This record gives sequence, C-alpha cells and structure tokens, in this order.
Amino acid sequence: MASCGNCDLTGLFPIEYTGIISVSMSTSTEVTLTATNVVLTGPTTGTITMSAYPYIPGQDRLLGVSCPSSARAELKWVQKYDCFNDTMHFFPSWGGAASVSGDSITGVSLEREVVTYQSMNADASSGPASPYFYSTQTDGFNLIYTGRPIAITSGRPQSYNILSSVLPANTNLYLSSFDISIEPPTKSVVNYNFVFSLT
Amino acid sequence: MADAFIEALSYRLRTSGVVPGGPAGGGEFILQTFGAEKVTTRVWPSKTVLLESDDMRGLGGDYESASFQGSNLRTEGGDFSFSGQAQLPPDFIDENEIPGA
Repeated sequence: MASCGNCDLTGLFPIEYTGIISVSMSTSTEVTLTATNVVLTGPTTGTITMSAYPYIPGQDRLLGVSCPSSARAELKWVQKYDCFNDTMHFFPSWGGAASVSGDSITGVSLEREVVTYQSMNADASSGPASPYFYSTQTDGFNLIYTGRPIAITSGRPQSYNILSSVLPANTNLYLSSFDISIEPPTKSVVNYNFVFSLT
Repeated sequence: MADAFIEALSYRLRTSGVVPGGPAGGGEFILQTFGAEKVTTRVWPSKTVLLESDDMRGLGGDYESASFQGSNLRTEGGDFSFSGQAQLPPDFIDENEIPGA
C-alpha cells in the first residue's frame, strides 16, 4: 500500500531506533463542563507505548536464557501543571519498584534486591501437553538494562527526546515503565511506556 | 455563563438542648426552639474574578464568609478558573417556614 494522505507503511515510520515492533500514542485533554455550563480545559497529556526487539540480527535473540524470563520496572513521575505559563512539569519521584523473574537475562540486573520467592506459570490454552514452569522472582528497586534499543536505569528516571518527527518540537518523553519478556525458544520483546505533555 | 453561581439553602433551628418533660421517667422530652436561621450559600463552579475585601460584610459587602480555590483549568476565554462558595448572613425565620417542618 502506498502513501495515502496521512497513512504510510509502518516500515517507513520515522523513528530514531531500529528493531521497533510497534509504537502507539494516546492523548487526552482535561475538559470539564460545570453545573453553570462553563467549559473548562486543562493540559493535554498522553502516553506512548513502544515495543521492540532487544537484539540486532546475529545476536543471541534469547539474551542468554533458556527458561521463560522477564524483568520489569516502574518509574514514578509527579506531574504539576503551571497554569500561569501553561506548562506541565514532570518531577522524578524515587521508589519505583522493579523485579526480575526466571533466568539471568544478559544486560539486566537488579541493583537492590529485597525479596526472592518462587513463582509459577501454567497455561493449557494450547493443549494439556503444554509445559508449565516454576521460576524464581526477585523484587526490589533500581533495575538496570544496558541492552537495546534504549538502555535504562530505573533508579534514575530521565526524559527522552524521541519521536521528534511525530511530536511537537522539544517534547520530552518521560519513561514511566519498562519490561522485557523472553519466551524460549520463540521470542523476546522489550516494552517501554512514556508519559508526556503537549502543553 | 462565566461566574454564574448556584444558590443553596440550609436551615438551622435555634434551640437549646432537649429537656425531660411530662411525668418523671415517662420517656417524654421537649425541644424548645427560638426561631430558625435560613442560610444562603452561593456556589461558583467556575469564577474568573475572585471576591474582594469590600464584598464582605463589615466592609460594605454582603458576604459573611467565603472560600475559593484555584484549579489547573481555564475557561474558553483563557481566564483562570476558581471554584468556591460564599455565605450570606442568615435570615431569621419562624420554625414553621422550614420546609418539611
């Protein structure tokens, strides 16, 4: 399908990284209608969800694991709207939880481990002969991911200036959550969630 | 519609405490009332201009008390929006004028 109006091939989507599987954006503006029929509007904020392959062709696509493994982290931001200047400020808030589960994933480490326990996963939707797994999960803080496409350190929330061809100039994206999931022998996927403001 | 308000009415009986009445131990009580107060409260869901000192009673205005807070919302005209309420001095009325009394 050729370009038609605002459509184009996803393979031609302009983004700063390679190996991107999907990118989706959702925005909303705070709008209120008062009991006295006055329309009030606030800032426009949104989220961007991006999934990608955490390897490049030729690399180990399972990142060194042989059992289902995953890692995730939450990064907290406090949003404050400056109505005088019509600007939304994002302040990093410490304490976002993180966890790792399963085998040790290449490029993933949990800087501060708090609790370790056994977890399991059984899924018979593909038939009763499907395997089920026990795994070890560790919860804590400060997940470090040195892989691609975007390396993160969850203990130090930061902003990113990506998707510059889609978003207005100088729009910062603030990483709010991260997870990587590996399911041998088929796939490994890394997901990023960003929050941002258009005001 | 900007700065339009809604009026809410509230009533308060002027009364002392309940006192025993009738035969001792009879379980009857008497509530003595001395009229009632009808209080008018004006509520602004959105107000672009705050009240000023001379809107208050004692400085030439009508209101006995007021409370407003700002929000992160603006009107279509781009004005800041405050929400809040102000209370007028009570009207003294007869108990029988209270709805439902």
